[in-house]
Amino acid sequence: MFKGSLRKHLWQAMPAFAILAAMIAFASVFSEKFATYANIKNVISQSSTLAIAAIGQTFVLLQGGIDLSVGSTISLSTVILAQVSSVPGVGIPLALITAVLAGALVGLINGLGVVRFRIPPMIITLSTGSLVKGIALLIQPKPGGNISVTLLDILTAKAGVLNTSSLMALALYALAFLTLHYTRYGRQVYAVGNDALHARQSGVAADRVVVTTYMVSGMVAAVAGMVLAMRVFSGDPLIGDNYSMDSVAAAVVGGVSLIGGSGSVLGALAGALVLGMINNMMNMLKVFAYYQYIIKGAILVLALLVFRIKRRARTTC
Amino acid sequence: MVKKVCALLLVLCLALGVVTTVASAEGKKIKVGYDIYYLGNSWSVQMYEEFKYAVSNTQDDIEVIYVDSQGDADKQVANLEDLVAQQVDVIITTPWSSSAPIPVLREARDAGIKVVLLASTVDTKDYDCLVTCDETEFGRAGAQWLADQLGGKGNIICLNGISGLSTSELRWQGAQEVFAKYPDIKVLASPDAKWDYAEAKVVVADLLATYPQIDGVWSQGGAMTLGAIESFQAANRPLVPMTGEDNNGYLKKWKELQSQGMKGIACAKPTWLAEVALQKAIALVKGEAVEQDVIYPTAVFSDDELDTYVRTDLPDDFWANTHLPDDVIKTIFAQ
Repeated sequence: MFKGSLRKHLWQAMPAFAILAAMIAFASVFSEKFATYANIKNVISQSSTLAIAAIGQTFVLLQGGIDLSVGSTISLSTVILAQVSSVPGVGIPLALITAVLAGALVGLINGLGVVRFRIPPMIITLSTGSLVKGIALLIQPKPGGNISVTLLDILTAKAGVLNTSSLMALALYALAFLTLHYTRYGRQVYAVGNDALHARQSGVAADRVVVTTYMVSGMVAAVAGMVLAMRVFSGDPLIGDNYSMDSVAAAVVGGVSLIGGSGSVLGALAGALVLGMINNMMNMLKVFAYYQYIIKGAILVLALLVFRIKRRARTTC
Repeated sequence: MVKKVCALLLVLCLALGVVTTVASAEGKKIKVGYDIYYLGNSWSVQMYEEFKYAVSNTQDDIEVIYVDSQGDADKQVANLEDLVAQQVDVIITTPWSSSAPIPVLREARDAGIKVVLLASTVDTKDYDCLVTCDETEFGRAGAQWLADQLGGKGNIICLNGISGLSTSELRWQGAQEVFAKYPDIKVLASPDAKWDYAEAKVVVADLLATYPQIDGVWSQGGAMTLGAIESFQAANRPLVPMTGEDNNGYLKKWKELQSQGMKGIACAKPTWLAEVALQKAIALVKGEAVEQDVIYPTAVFSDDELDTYVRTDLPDDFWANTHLPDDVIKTIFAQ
């Protein structure tokens, strides 16, 4: 169906899809409550934030970087929404725009730090992450604030098991997929991730590509923050903390390479669903909390192992 | 012989059948969803153990489904959603954020599930019963004692928990209310030390190096006061009045230094709140009338009462205000 490199990138996402299918089959057989309408709705809304955050992370990973400021940007976005969206009249558009611009600014700082000042991506994004967390705490030191009820109604309006937030996630995936695989910019992202020097010599403005991926990550994190803010109907300066590492994990489980240049954003979607579903599945199967950690670890190792073996098999033959 | 055994087995089966049908006729099992909010410090561990102990002692026919939120507001919401999907009769949770669980708690109550909040609350009244202590009172009680000790005058440092958590914010709010009345009490610094011994030790050591004159320490408790005392000793600074919580490590240190004039106070948030929460949960499911807010006054232990509460035979991680018997405590903190 797909040709050339795209096929290769999608192939790398297969283990994640296979594990996802296995998990769904297993949980449906062993828990009568798993495949119910109420629970499917839960799984989708529980995974939306991570699924969105993983898109931005994938852009950054594909060009060979990593963005550990995602979590703080998500928190900042929830806080901005909680503070601004209830302002009468202009509140909602102002809040959305401010949040996305703040995300873009965080990304710009990350990107410039990497290309201008040659700071390793892990260090600069951890630093900006800490900075952004401090700002979020200054704006709103504790959970709360006023999310506009109109905005809540818009973003949680239901369409079957989906709602506006999950539809937004799907739309962003479609957009990211088309951008990465069918545009010049997308090819440049992969090229820089594979070999920045060669890409540069072939006339790719590598620095610009790197900076824009961080900005995409920041803006997408801001959108993830909006979805999360709706879920918890508040702003919370600490709530996003886990998303930095989880978004990396989702992408990597989905077959996106940590050293850049290979993998697909669709894999990140599968990875996000696997991670998002583990907790739900264990709860539905009534597995006691301590075992959940072990099984979660085992599933992650399994996902990465399948990916490794497959890759080795391909390179040897 | 074979016949006899068969007959016996048959009778047993019948008997069992009768027993089970009788049991189910009496009323179905109560399904309790318990959200373990956090197991990251000894207080939260002891509260969870207290809950399990209460479950093992209850006379009612209950089944408990545990979920583990790991101190993560987002995960807690997901876990509560999962409990709703499992159609439990009652949910017991300790909200990590005062606002995040509100939508899901509403959803639960719309589905006819009773909601019991344990040890921390939310900003609205979307619950059937709240079992906790007054956190601002906790902050006020310590602050008032400290202000009295200092004669309303002096330089103090304050050790907070984790910014953004309601427990930390409310205790600090209570303390600030008191300090506002004493213009001569100067708060030099009020950093977060996460209720943690090691964290507090470092923070206080830094503050001691920065400020030559510290007359008192207001601490939110946890194991922080113990860390503070040790930093004062390490820096060879005279011990000053310090507030704390009923953490056994602190109580033991205080007892040891009492003869040298160490002044202390311990506010206490009992871990037996979990036992009360279970009782209220069962009562709610049975349709009994339950008060919506069950808020206990903060227990305060002063110098005279120290001997009643300190347990020199138990480890530092133990919390004095508990209903757990000694053998259970010893197994919990043996590792």
